[in-house]
This record gives sequence, structure tokens and C-alpha cells, in this order.
Amino acid sequence: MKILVCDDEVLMLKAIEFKLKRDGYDVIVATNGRDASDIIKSDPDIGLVITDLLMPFFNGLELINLIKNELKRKLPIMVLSKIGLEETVLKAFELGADDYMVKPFSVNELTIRAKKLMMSK
Amino acid sequence: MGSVFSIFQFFIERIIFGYSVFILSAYVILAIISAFSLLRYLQKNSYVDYNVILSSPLVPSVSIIAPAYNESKTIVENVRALLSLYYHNYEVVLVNDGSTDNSLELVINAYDLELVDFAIGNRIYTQSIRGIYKSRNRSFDKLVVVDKANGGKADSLNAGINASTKEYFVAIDVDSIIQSDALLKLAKPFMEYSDKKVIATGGVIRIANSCVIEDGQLIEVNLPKKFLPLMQVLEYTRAFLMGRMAWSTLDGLLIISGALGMFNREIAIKCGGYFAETVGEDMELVVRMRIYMCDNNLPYRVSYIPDPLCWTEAPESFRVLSRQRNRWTRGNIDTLFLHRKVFFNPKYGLMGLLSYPFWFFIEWLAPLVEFFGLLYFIFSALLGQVNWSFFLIVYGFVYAFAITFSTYSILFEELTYHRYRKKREILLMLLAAWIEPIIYHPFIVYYSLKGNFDFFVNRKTGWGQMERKGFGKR
Amino acid sequence: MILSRSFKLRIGLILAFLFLFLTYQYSGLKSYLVANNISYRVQITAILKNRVPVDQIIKKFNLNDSVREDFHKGWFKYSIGNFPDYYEAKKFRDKLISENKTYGAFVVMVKDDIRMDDMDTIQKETVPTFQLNQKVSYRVQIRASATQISINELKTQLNIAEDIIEEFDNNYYKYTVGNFENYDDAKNVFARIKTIDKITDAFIVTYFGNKRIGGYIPEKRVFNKQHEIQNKPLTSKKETSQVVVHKEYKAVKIKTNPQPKKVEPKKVEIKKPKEEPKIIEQKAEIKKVEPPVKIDENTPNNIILDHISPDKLKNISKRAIQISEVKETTNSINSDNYSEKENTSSNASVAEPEVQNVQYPSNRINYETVKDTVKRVKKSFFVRFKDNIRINSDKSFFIWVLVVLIIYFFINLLVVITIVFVSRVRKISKEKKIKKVEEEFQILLAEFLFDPSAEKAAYNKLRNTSGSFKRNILLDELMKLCVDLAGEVLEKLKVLYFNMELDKDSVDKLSNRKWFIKVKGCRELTRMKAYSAKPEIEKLLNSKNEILRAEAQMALIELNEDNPYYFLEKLTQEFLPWEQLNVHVMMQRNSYEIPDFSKWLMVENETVVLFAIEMIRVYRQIMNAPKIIKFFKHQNKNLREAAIIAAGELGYVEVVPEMMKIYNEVEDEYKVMILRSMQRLADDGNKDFLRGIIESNAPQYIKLEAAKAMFALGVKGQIELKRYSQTNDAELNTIVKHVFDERI
Repeated sequence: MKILVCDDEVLMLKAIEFKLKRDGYDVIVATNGRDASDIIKSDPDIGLVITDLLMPFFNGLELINLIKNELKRKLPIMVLSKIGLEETVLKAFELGADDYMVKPFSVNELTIRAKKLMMSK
Repeated sequence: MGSVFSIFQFFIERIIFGYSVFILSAYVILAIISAFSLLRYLQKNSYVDYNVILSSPLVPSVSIIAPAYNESKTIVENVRALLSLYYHNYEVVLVNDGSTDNSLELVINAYDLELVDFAIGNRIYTQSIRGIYKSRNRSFDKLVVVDKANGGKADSLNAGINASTKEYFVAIDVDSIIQSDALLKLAKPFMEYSDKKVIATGGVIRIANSCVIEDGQLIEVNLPKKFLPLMQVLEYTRAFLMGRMAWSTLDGLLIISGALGMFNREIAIKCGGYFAETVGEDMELVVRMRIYMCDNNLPYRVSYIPDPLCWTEAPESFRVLSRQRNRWTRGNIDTLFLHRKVFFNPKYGLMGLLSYPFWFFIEWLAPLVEFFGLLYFIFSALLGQVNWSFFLIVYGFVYAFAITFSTYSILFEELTYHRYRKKREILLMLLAAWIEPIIYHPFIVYYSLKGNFDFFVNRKTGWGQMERKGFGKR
Repeated sequence: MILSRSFKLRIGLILAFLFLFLTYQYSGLKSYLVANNISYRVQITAILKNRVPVDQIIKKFNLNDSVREDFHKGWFKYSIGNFPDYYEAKKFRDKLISENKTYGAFVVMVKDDIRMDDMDTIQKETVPTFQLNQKVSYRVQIRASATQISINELKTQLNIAEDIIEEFDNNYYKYTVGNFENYDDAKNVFARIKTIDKITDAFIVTYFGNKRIGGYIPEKRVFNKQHEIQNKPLTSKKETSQVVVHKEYKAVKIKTNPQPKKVEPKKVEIKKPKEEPKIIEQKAEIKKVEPPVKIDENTPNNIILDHISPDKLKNISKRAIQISEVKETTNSINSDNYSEKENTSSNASVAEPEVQNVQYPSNRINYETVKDTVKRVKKSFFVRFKDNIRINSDKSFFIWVLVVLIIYFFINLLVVITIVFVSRVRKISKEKKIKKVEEEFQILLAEFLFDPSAEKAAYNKLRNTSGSFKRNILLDELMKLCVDLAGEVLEKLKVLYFNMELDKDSVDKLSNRKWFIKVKGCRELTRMKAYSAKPEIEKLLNSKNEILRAEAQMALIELNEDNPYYFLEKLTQEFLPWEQLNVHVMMQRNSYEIPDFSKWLMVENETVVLFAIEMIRVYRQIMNAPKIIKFFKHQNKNLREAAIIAAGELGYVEVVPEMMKIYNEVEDEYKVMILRSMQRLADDGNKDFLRGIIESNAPQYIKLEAAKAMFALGVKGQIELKRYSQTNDAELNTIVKHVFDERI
């Protein structure tokens, strides 16, 4: 099962990738929403999407919408964003996100939650 | 008869001489002030963490108003880019100004729009509104589309202002590329003062010709390859980095470019919104807002950000360029004329005593004086009265000054934003500085003259059509 | 065009000022001219030591203008015209020459009513040099006289058949015969005429076009070819007191004050001019300098030189051969001078009883090659250039300033271009270097943080980083990670930070002169929770720079767990919205207890009060609502505004009646805020109030807000609204529809 991680910050991407790989997962990275949507469309084997909201081309919310409402994939989505405002969180959940974490975050927490999400679906 | 002529000559020479000294010193002073304030700004803002703006409910709410007319080539991707900006509390108000092509349909289809019962209000008068649309898709709920009868850019902006519910609005050209962090940077000046109200903020407009654009996002920055946009790059660099920066520091900025500007919505409404009858509506609004604040004795400020935030397509053909400059000239004269009560009026502070006179004498009159000087020179040459060695030196001086000035602006750009990375590009710009005064500048003077002529003699108003050369498609 | 009075007044003032200024300038010019009295005249003739009545001059030259007489350097000089500008004078002179009134005229400058003599130089360059389209011709002169002689009389007297031409040249009337293009022809005639009894002083004169070749300029001596050939010094010192005379000539000793017998009122006084020794010296000088050189056959000069018999060509020097015209006396000339072998065509000089005339530079001919011409022209261009500038002496200073500035600009350009390229190169190489190191560290850090097996090794490697360049980059990378990561990872990073003593680096930054370095240090210490740095940071709390202040504030919040917001009381500077923002974000990030902000409602610093109100709003501290209400009538507009908004969001029921009380007194903006508050604080008691607004003349947008508030009341409110939609009021209909539309 692959995990798709989308974030425009390269450093963040690397850190998460590293950690998840160490935990035994297969990780694909994307630096913007457009690439992410391409990957999702072409790869049926993705088990989890961890995405930021603010990305070039396609923001995270659009990505969630794409996965849940257009492609209708049963893919768990975790949002990892700097924006912690109530309305954004609510909107993300409304659109179909399964979990929401705010930066700064703990990588361990991320891993645990990710595991839980992948197991439940 | 001869003596009358020689008196005339005497005065003319003195006037032209005095004017030239005046204009050259003004440029030098502005450049020096710009240098200092640019430096200070860079120091300050390189350590600013704009991310705090993302996370806070205390930030201003913003409406981006994008008037669109027959933009079917790029409208969908540009709207998408606008929806992806890094900011949380904003909306995008796309105003379809009675397009005759299928722009509206494209947008409706792309974003799954439907008509809603929006009571738009009419605090500012506009052409009739045909309908207001919102998306069924919640991920696009930032988008509001206003469809109205054609009325021009100013009219569309007013409609957008009416439809907006936020504290501030950002007026843009829908075909410009706005950088993702533009709103963050634009919003900051509004929070920097507590004793004054910041009523407007503008940014730097850069030229996007020859840049690589995908889906409304800027991927790669390149120096324009064609002659005219290259010249304009120089022009814009000079104007923005060595002119407007100084005016902002002095708080005498009279113009915020229509391609990107953020304004306090309530104050704009109180002033009556954009004036639809003029072609220079961007400058006109700023001046009017300033007058309003002065009239009501409210402390205020107009700010400016030297960061490149917006990239726009510059005219590539002489024809389009001439229309653009003609329009700018007429817009200038319009504003100067409409608000003449500000001229040297101490009640309006720096605007009246410095900015407006500067705009009047230099921005408006310079091409005229130059042309008149040229005529006088030809006339004198025909009469055999020209001291050629004198003339050569003076011309050499003016040329050297122009080159040096342009080169300095290239230096500024290099030291600050360093957007043009390739060595070849810098060389090309430096070369362009040598060519510009000889080949490009006369055209600009001519277009400006024509603008004056059109304004005063032909009483021309209104816009021309600017051809659209679509940005790269994916 | 309607112009307000004050506008007209201002414009009038400015125009008046401008006019006065220009007039002053103009009068300034005039007074300058008057004071310095610089003007230019054209000198038409000069007479050595002899004074001629002005009306005679006028008659002789057939002039219309008045003539001015100057006594200058021993000569009486007569000039006409009065021009403020050199060029005009020159034009006039050219006109005079072309009218053949005189060909020895040139421009002189009169300053302070004194005639200046530096015009020679200028005059030199503006003299038209050889005109190729004119021909050299030769005539035979038969008589020269100070007074005019009737031609017919001469003819009969001398028994000459040919026509005699009279010229007035250099104060003498000269009579010549014939006009030959070929020197030999002239020679034949001369030989014949020589034999006539009454002719004692005939000789061949060379003409260039119509101009008699004569005169020389003292500096560039002429030398009579004959002197060279004879190889004798021109004159000995003894002779200077007399006259320059060729040995071949019959020596005519003339006293220093010879008086021609047939002298008339106009006397030609002969005085020993002081220039003489100079003249002679220079003559000798030139002799050395200018040896005869072969002439290039291909030069245009050949056209002229063709008129000279070939064997004479050798003797002609390449350089300017200047012909001196010497004043004659009636008995001075000896035709023996002109031996056939040694005659040079150019030489028309005659023994001069007096001193050479220093006044005639005007008709010099230069025989040169093209190369020389070009060189000369180039040089003369530059000299002329300089002189042109010098002439307009009132502007010359300005011009030199411009020239200096131009040079300065070009130097500037070079400097700037160098800087541009150097800085690019430096920047790019620096970026590359940094990138490389960055990537190394990123990998190491990732291993250290996430890879238990490689952790220790990575840690050691990192720990051993030395050199401030690398340490700084590592520090930056650490900071980047800290922004986004929390928990265990953060703790690890802290360990690294302190063990490497990077905190000391950060503290050092606090005392750096540059404020942005201080900011950096502050930020680092904050993220790493370096408590010990608190006192240092406190010092920065009230600095002028608002970015620095904001950082210090945030730092103190982080580092002060028990009383994180104590700095608010210490703040004396304005607490800007930007700073408030930062502080608030800090608050959110930390798990500190949110304090009761009413503590700060009574602080002196009103901006802090504003912040307190905002925080009460954001954190919904309802218990503080009554205190907020007190601010509705505060004098500070900002506080009023904030209070109204805050009160609205607090959901404290008692707020609403208060708001309704002040509703009518406040401006529209506040009305909107109040109504928005009421949207949140739905209470049936509001209904009547809201209804009142909806049915009033309020602007649409206010009614809209009121309708929204009505909607928020629930079913009861919605029924009311529905009723409005059934009325004929179009505006109300739109409002109601908007309110009911869920998509908006």
C-alpha cells in the first residue's frame, strides 16, 4: 500500500517521506496539487493521501473534492496544514477529509494516525 | 523683429535649460530615496514570517475583483490560479463585463456554477447586473461570478465592489499572473499602522512575456526576447524600483497600478467607487481617496510593496503599445484635470505640494517639452544659430545620464530580487539601456504627444482593444 | 472650466513668480553684458602708427556703419559693427569679405570697452583655407602708392598698353597689370615692363582667386624662400632697427622714421614695434623646423602647383608658406630680387621699409597633403570646439561641468556593470555552496531524527560541525524543521542545539548591531526555548523597530510559562496590529492557559487595550462583556469599533439592548457591525427593532443585514420575512430571496 504525500515544502516532504519509509511504507511524493491529482488518477494502489492545503495549481481542498466526489475513490485523506482556523477545518471535513492535523506537528502522531486511517478503510 | 526673436530665443533656452535641470535632479533625488527605502524594506521583510498571516483570524478579509472581457482563452486557468492563493479569508469575484465570447460559459462549466439570488446592492452605480453565480461544489465556494452588461473596467470593478462583503478588495487584471503569496504581502502594510489608516497598497508589476506559464502559475522567469517588451522591462524596472519606492516612502504615491492594488472597500465606496468615465481609473481613484481622507482630516497612508507580486503581458507590437500609452497619457491628463484643486494646495499636504506638481510638470509635460525642444532645435539649426559643439556635449550628457540611470536600475534589480538569472539576460538588459534612448524613447514621446492631441483636440475617451496573446497552455 | 478662486490664486502666484524669475534672468544677462561689455566687432584695417580720420576710412571702404578706432599694440585699428555674439560678427565679416570691401577683416572682441587681442587664434581657425576651386594667378605690379593715382594717368605716364587694375590693399593703392595663370607668362611681361624707365618697383604678385596673397602671422613665420636658399640669417640684430631686407634687394637703409616725400595728411609712422625681434627669431625657428620636403604628386595641391614651374617645386616646402606682404614705400622695390632661378611663385614679398605687417592673417594659403589636412582639420575641430565653448564664455563653465559629469557617468557605468556581474557571480556561487551543505545536513538530520540505526552516527557527525559558515547553515536547517515539527522530534533538535552550544551563537546575535540579525537570534532562542536568554530579550521589547518588537514579544510569551503576557504591561510603544497578530498566533500554538484579558482593559497604552478587546472576542470571554459595553462610548474610535464587534460575537444577551440604544447615533459602518452582532445573538426581543429597520429608508445593504438578523431568529423571523416578499417592494424581494438562499 502506497502513501501519497503532497506538500510544496521540500524539506517537510523529505522528513515525512523518510519517517514513513522507515516505518515500512511505500511513499510517493508530489509538490503540487496537479501532480498529485495525476498520480492519483493513474495509480489505483494508493492507500492514503496526506496533503497540505496550500499548494500551487490545485489547492488541497480541490484535491479532496476530486478524490472523494469526482473520482469517488475510497481513499482516506489526511490534511496536514498550517491553517488551523475553525472554518477551514470544517470545510475540509465537509468536503470529505478523514483527518486534520495542524502544523507544527509531531511526526509520531502523524504516523499513528496514518496507520489507523489505513487500517480502517 | 530680430530683437523680439532673440528675446524669445533667450527665454526659450532658459526655460528648457531650467526644466531639464529640474527634471534630471528630480529623478536623481527619487532614485536616491528609492535606494534607501528599498534597502530598508528588504531588510525588514526578509525576516518576516508571512505564515502567521495564514493562521490568524485577525487578518483582513479580502475580495479579489477580476473584471473580465472576452478572456475565453485563459479565463478558466486564471480563475483557478486565483483560487489557489495562499490566504485563508478571501473570495474571488469574477466580473464578466458583457463578454461577447463564451468566457462565461467556460467558467460556468469549469466550476459548476449556478445562479443564486444575490442581493448585490447598488452602493455604487453600475451597468445592469444580469446574474450572480456561485458554485455547487463546496471547494469552490470562494468564487462568486457577476455577470453584467458591458460597462468597461471601472464599471466592472464597481460591480465587484458592490458584490463584495469583505473589508478590502484587490483590483486585478484577470490576465495577470498573481503570485501565491501576493495577498500575504499586500495585507501586511494594512496592519503596520495603528495611528493611521492605510487606504491602499500596491505592488510591482513585472513583465511576463517569454516567461513560462502553466495553468496560470509562473514556472520560469525569462527576459522577453522581443524588442518592445525588453524595452518595457527597463522602463518598468526604473519606474517601480527607482520611482515609486521613493514616493511610497514620502507617502506621495499617486498611482497604484490597475494590474494589482488592494484598497479599503468602505472608503472606496464612500468616495463613490471608480469613475467610469475616465481611462485612468486606477490613478483617479487613488487621488480621490486621498482627497477624501484629507477633506475629512483622517490620518492615512498609501503604501507600496516593491516585491514582484504580479506578472502581466506587455504589448509586443507598436500598434498595441501606442494605444496603451495613448490611454495612459489621456488617463493622466484626465486625473490631473479632474483634481486640479489639489495643485499646490497646502491643504492636501504632500500630495498637493509635491506629488501632484511632479506629476503635472514631469509625467505630463516632459514629452511635450522634449518635443518642443526638438522643434526649437531644428528651427535654430535651420537658421544656422546652433553652436554644434555645445549641442553635442549637451546631447552626450543627456544620453550618458539616461544610460547610467537605466544601468543603475538594473543594478537595483540585480541586488534585490535577482529575477533574471542568466548572464546573457543581464547583458541584454545592459545593452538595451544603450539602445533605448535612441530608438524606443522617441516612440514613447510620440505616443504621449498623440495622447495629448487626442485628448485636447479629438476629445477622445474610452479604451481601445488590447489583443490577447494567450499564455502558454499546458 | 470652473476654477475655484483659490486655485486661480495659486496658479496666478506661480505664474507671476515664474515671470519675475525669467525677467530677472534676462536683465541679468543684459547687465552681465553691460558690466562686462563684451561685444564683437569686425576689424577692417589697421595702420601702423598712423592715424587716419574715421570718415576717410568710411569713404575708402564704402561703409555704412560707424567706425571705431582703437590704438592697440602700436597700431591704429579700425573696426565696425557691434555684435553680442561671435557668430554674428563672423557672419558680418564674411559678408564684408564677399562684398570685396576688404579681405583682411576679422573679428575682434571688445570687453569693458577695451579691445582684446586674443582673436588671432580664433581667427586662424576660422579662416577659410585653400579653396581648390580657385586658381592661382599672377600679375605684375607696377606701382604702389599711399594715395590714389588715376589709371589713365599711369597708363600714359608709363606707356603701357595693357589694362591696369587698381586695388586698395593694406593702406596702399596698388596697380597691377595682366592676369596670368602661368608664371612664365607673367615673367615675360614682367621682363618687358621692368625695362620701362619710369617703373622702378615692379614685381610679380601671386593671386589666389581674387585675393592678393599677403600677410603672415607672426607666430607662424613666413619665411621668404629666398632666405633659405641664401642660407643667411634673415636679419642681423643691427638690421632689426631698420627693416627686414633681403640681401638681394638693394639695401635700403631707412631711418626709423622715414617720411615718404609725397606724404599727405595721413602719415604712416614707422615705429619699431616690439614684436620685431620676436618675429625674426621665429623666422629663424621656422627655418629649422620646416625643411623643404617633396610634395606628394597625388595631392590636390598639384592642381595649384601646376602653375608653378616644375623646377620650383623642389623649393617649395610642404608646410605653410606664408607670404608676407610688406608695406612698401615708393622707392623700396628692386626688381633684381627676382632672379629667375630663385623665384618662388609664392613669394611676393618685397623689401619692406618698415616692419612686417602683423595684422594680416587672413589670406594665408596652406599647401598640404591630404593627410596633413585631415590632421589639421581634426586638430582644428577640437581646437575650434574648445574655442567655440570659450567664446560663449558665460556658458563655458557650465559646459565643462557637463563634460566632467559625462566622464563621471561613464565611470559610474563601468563600476555599476562590474558590481552587477561580480555580485551575480558571487551570489550564484554562494547559493551553490550553501545548497550543497544544506543537502548534506538535511540527510544527516533526517537520519538523526527518524532512523534509530543511523541516529548516533548522524548525531556525531552533526555535532562535530565546525566553522561558523557550516554552523549557520545547520542552524537554519534546524529552524526550518522546528517550524513544522513538534513533539519528540523537537526535543531531539533541542538537544542537538544546546549540545552544540548553538544557543550561544543565538545570544550573540542579539547584541549584533543589525536589527535583522537580532531578530534571527531572538527567533532561534524562542523556538528552542532557551530560557536563560530572557533578560536579553526583554531589552528588545521596546525597540523602535516593530519587527524586532514583535519577535521579542513572541519570545517572551514562549519563554514565560507562568505569566506569558506580562510584557503587555511593559509595552510603551504602539502595539501594532501586526504585532498583535503574531502574539495571537503564539497564543494558539502554545498550550498555555488563556488569561482573562480584562486585566489589560485598563492599561494606559490604548493599543494594548485594543488587543485585549480583540482577544476577549476571539476567545469568547463572555464574562467580560459588561466591561466591553463600557467602551461603546469611548472617545477612541478604534476602541469603539472593536468593542462593538467584540460585543456582537460574545453572545452576551445584555449586549443587544445596549447596542440598540446607540444604534441611531453611530455611523453606517457601525450599524452594520451591530446588525451582524445581532445575527449571532438571536433574540425575539430584537424583532421589532429589526422590523423597524427593514421598513425604513435605510440603504439596501443595511436592510440586508437586518433581514439576515431577522432570519437568524428562527421560524418566527422567517415567516415575517416571507411576508415582505409578497409586497410590491422589489428591493425587499431581492433582499428576502438573498437571505433565504443557502448557497450564499
